Amino acid sequence: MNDAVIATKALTRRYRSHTALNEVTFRVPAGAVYALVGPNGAGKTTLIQVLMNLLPATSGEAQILGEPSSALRGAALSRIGYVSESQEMPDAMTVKAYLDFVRPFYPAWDAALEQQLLAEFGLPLDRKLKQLSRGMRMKVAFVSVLSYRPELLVLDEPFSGLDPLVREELIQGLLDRIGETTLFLSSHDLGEIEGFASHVGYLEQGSLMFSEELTTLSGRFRQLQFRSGLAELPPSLPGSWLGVEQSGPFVKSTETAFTGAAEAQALVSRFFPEATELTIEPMSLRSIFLATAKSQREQRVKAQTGVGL
Amino acid sequence: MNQMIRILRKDIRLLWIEIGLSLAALVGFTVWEPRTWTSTVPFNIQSQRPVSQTFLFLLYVAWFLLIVRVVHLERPAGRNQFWTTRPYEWWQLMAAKLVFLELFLPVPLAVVQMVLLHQAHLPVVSNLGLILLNAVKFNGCFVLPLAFVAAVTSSFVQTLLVFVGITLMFVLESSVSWIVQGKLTLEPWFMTPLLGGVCAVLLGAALVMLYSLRRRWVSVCLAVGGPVLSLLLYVLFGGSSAALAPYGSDVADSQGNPAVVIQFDTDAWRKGQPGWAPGSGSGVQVVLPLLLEPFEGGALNVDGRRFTFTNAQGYIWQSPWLGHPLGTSYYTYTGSQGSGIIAGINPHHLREAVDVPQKVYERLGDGPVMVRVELAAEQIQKDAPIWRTLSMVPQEIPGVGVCTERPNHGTMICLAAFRTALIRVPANFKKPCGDDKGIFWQSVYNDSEPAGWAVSPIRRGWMNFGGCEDDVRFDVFRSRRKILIQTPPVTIALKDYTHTN
Repeated sequence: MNDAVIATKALTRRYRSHTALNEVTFRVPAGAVYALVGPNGAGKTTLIQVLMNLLPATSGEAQILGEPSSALRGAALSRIGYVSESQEMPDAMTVKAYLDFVRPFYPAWDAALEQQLLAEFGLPLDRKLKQLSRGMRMKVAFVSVLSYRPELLVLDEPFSGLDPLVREELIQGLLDRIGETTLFLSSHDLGEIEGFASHVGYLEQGSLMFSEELTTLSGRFRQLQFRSGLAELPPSLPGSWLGVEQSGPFVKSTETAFTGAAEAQALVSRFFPEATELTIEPMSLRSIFLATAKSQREQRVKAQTGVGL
Repeated sequence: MNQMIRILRKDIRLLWIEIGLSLAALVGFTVWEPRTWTSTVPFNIQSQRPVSQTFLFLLYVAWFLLIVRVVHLERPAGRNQFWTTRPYEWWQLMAAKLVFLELFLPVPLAVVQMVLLHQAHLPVVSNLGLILLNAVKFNGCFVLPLAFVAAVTSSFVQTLLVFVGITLMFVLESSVSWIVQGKLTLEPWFMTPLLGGVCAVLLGAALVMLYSLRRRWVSVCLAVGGPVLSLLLYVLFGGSSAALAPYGSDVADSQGNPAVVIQFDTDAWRKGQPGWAPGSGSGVQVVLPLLLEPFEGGALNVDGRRFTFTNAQGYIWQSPWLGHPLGTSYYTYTGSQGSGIIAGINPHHLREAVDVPQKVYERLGDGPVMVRVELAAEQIQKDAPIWRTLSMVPQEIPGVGVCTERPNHGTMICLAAFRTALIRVPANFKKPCGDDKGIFWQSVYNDSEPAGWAVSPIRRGWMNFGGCEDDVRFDVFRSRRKILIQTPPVTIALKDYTHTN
């Protein structure tokens, strides 16, 4: 756990009978841009709040910058930036008053960077926060955390509900600083993070389905399609396939452990000896996310109804 | 420290309207309140000062707003406030909030109280201790509990609802206590400071827990633990012998306090008379008439009593130490020059009532029962008389306050600082026209402020008089000692003294 900026081990958070986080284990290496993805209600915000010591974990452990997350308070927070879509701001303060107030809390505050960000985002200093639009408020939040060059930046659904222009500005603001900080952000919109995430974790119903580098993930997921030569799917299928569907003579599947075209061809031939016209397509992060989500949902339905077991 | 000052400055800047409102209401009250001091209406004083009462109401509203707003600017409850992920040191945040509250609530209040004392021609310096004590009570009973409620709630409406709920709970608790006579148990002298201390320590711990770890429900449990523990202590010590620690022997002493003798009143017509206050309705009410032997220049304030019944078969039933059913006490006064009633109750005859459980009553039976009553009382003695020539110029009368004769020559108004703790009977005076012409009045001090603390430090006494001279003699009564009095045992038939509605 030592070389990771964030590291968790069997992190669990329960609300009475509901398990919001179920033994979540993952690591975020220094310098990474880690995207935590998952559908609404998957537990992303809960995980971030446990990491930020806003919520206690029921069991398991989490370390942030080498310290237990449960000890994260006071001066330790001067190394971490946190922005959340639901964060309340001191609405009665002007942008200038707010920045003037938070600035002395951070020894590493870079006034030049602050000015640069203010200019980039076009923020009106004399306006009260409550008079700002949601996008402008988010920009203020970004200025107030980027200006002290945090070692870790934690963003909880930062672009949710923002118009494309503001979203683009904020993403650009982040991209400009990638490399000097480790970024951990959650989102249910894959399109917005696909371009710059280096690592991705997929959370579903409180369980982390996978957590790895984006290149590895993209490398092992492939969309397979072939003419099966069978009237229906055989009873046994490769364990690494998700969402196998037969549509007429064609079978479509997601391979989750792709290692090469020859190996894929061999695997298809083993379960479908008469298979022809095999096509292997790389998948976008969105397709991987959707295939995984769909497969999980199907498994859950099967488990609940007993159908297919 | 830097953080604390920054947070404090920020709060002051953001809440200047609320601060201004509270100070304006306080100044308004300070300007108007002295105008009510000259009113000659003794009763329903509150209704006679609508303007200052309006300012008082506004003041409490402004204080409520101020406390809730300053806490909510960085409230510990909830997870979404900007400050929760900023490098705040919890103790600096808590200190900033406490300093703010002190700066804009008790401190201005204390300053205003000094101004009011000065305006009333009462000494300021010698009352600083009382002002400080009032500030402690104000903090402990109003500021900190409300700040805690604000800290564990996440919106203004939520705070308001919880506050209203707690107020209703106290009203309900008082009603229930009265119904079950739970309050009638004599409390040990240390009970109030002990309970206050326990509640204060637990509330402080809850605040620390809340700000340091932001564990809301743990803090709420700690804070609620105060009243629960208090109740437990009350059950443990209330009515026990611990309550008697300050009460000494009732014999005459070297300091001129005469002995007090009380015995059973065997006068036949007193049998079956009702007690001074209705019983609880549980059990059978037995009313025992007692007779107080007159003693010179004194009065008696009965704090509590205990009853012991023994029947011919040797069965003994003893009540716990009970407080007085009227909630406070009554006085009996005899033997001064001229005689009179201090608290409007028959001077010599007491009627002590106890609710005996039905089963106990039946077991004691119809036969002879030996009765013994023990009284825990405060002996009050008259000071040497003070003579004053009444004047329209304010003059200090020791133990009474600063008194001024009203121009109509029929009224005198005395102003005193806070509660006149030593003066159980604030003042009693007569015109020196001879006993038959002298008329006695008692002052009525305005003690209607919320229990525990007061906004105005001034208590007003109002006296009417008629007569012939301007020289007036004041008889001031002071609490001298607490004594335990036992009536000699007497054998009675219990049914003769059973009161039935």
